[in-house]
Amino acid sequence: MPLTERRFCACVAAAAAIVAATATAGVAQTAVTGTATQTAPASGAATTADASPATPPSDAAPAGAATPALPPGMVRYDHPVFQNGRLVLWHGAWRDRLGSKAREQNAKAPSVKDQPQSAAVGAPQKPSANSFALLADPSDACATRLAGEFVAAMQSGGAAGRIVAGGVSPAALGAAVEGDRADLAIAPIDALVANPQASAAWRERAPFIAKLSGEPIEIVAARDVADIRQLAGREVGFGIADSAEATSAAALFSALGVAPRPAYEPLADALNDLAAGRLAAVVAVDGRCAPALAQFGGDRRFHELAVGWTPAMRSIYTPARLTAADRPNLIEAAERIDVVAAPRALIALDAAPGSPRAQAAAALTKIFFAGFDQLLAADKDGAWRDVNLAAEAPWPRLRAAQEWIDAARPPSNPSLQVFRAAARGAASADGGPAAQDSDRLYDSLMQWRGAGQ
Amino acid sequence: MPMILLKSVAGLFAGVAVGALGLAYWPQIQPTTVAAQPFVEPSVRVAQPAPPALEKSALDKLALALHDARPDAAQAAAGPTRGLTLTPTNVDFTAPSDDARRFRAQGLVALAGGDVAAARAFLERAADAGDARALLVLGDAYDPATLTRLGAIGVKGDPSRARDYYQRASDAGLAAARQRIAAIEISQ
Repeated sequence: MPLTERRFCACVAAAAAIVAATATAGVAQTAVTGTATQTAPASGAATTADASPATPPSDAAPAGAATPALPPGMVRYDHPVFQNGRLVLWHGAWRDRLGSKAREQNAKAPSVKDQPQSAAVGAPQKPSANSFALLADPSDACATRLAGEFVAAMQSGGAAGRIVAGGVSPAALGAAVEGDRADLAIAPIDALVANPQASAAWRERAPFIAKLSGEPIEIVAARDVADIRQLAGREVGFGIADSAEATSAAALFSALGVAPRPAYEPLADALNDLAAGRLAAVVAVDGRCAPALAQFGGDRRFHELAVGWTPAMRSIYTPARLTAADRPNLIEAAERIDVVAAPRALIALDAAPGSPRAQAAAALTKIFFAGFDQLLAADKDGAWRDVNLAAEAPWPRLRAAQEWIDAARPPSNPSLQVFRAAARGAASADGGPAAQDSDRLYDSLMQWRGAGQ
Repeated sequence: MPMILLKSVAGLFAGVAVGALGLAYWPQIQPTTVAAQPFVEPSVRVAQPAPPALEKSALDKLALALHDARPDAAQAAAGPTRGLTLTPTNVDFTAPSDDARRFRAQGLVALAGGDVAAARAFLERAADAGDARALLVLGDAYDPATLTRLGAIGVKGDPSRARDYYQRASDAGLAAARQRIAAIEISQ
């Protein structure tokens, strides 16, 4: 059944049920949070736990003090956690996608409620190394595809995974770290590093496992908009709030010093508004995977805006180029549009060094790295073939990932170490690598390559 | 009818409504169809051995023999690399601008850090702006021998593309590019 028809039927059924419920009891008192329906663990108990505490945050008592009894199979948070303005007191002790199986095991095991309270508070259950939840932005079609292929590859390595839909903005990632929503996430690098203050609280608890390649950030505008600076003060489609698009758009315009008025809506709707003249431009970060963009602008009224490179972008973005081969509907045959790309990273959530979740992430990392070659197959997304698992990023790496890489790499000779040290020195200078560094680094590279022959 | 029963029925209907709406608007994520496999303890990846050392005299001899032999057919068969295009061939490489050298420096920093994709992107910009040395480093960024020595894991080189960039660097006057071309020819 097509999606629109399915949604229509579901809405009719839902409306009928709500009318019946209202007529029966007069008041329908349901406490359901949108967060719970999208991101809660698979067990129904977790959803119940999210909805149960009705205490407003301002009245929140410290966890463990005069709170309701802990439901079986749940683990109490050792710090205040809020979701949708509600204090969440506990989370599921399992992440297995088969909730019924977990409930069976839980029924056989002693109840958490019967254990000493000190054992539950501050000592979350060790997550399973053989199952995981991967957070991905559902509005980022490329990230969703990568997530699906990642889960399949991990499954062939013995780890059962599922994809959890959720935002990847700094705020959303911070909530995911605090809120026990997933074990891993695919996040744009700019969400991690563009605003250090926003990520400072959870930086060490969300180490990256591997840097993934990024997608060009495309800005589509009417042809009367010739320069990105003309978008200042005008309304621009940023995608859904908290999405990869919104995050990258905000970070990019900030780096460029241009301040448009963001409009948060899905890409397809934003393109419709652009065509109708209600938006000045639309930002897309998953254009390669988004059919809406591929089918847009056949009448040649719109084009891709170039994004000039500035030194402020060096630690976040990489240069990228769009041609008619990428976007024949928006780029003329001889044109080459220089833009920037925001790389992504696979990160572990709530995996501070030495934590139980870091151990589970280490086991998942070994499976991922050892089976990585299957993601290089021709039927997989080409973005995997650009990934060097050993690539560094301006973000802390999971210790187990670094140890695996160090063990797998051939020993580096002294001249390579000199080259790397020279590069680090140039990168750490104010303003980043300068023109005068280029020849020194080049000579260092030549010395290393010559020493290897 | 007791109030508690009424509330239970209302709750049931509300649950059905919420469930239907949730299913209708659940994000469209393709389910994976891979069958469950028995758990296998992953083994540590064994690094590929570095290519054998070559005698310099042999390299020079072969490089001279191979000079001007461009692998057009191999390049066409390999196809373009995702997201990158070959730099234009009508670029003046005699005096690279500061912007070009800055892009080359950034590309070298990225290469040293193992970010091969970023290095290629920066070096493309540098080569476009007239930096001949960026062409040679681009060749290195595609050269399987360089990537192996660099300790890259996952990303594969492209000998055809590496050879093309080496050739263009050689054409722009960089003698070191000839040795690289010869090494690629010997390894293939």
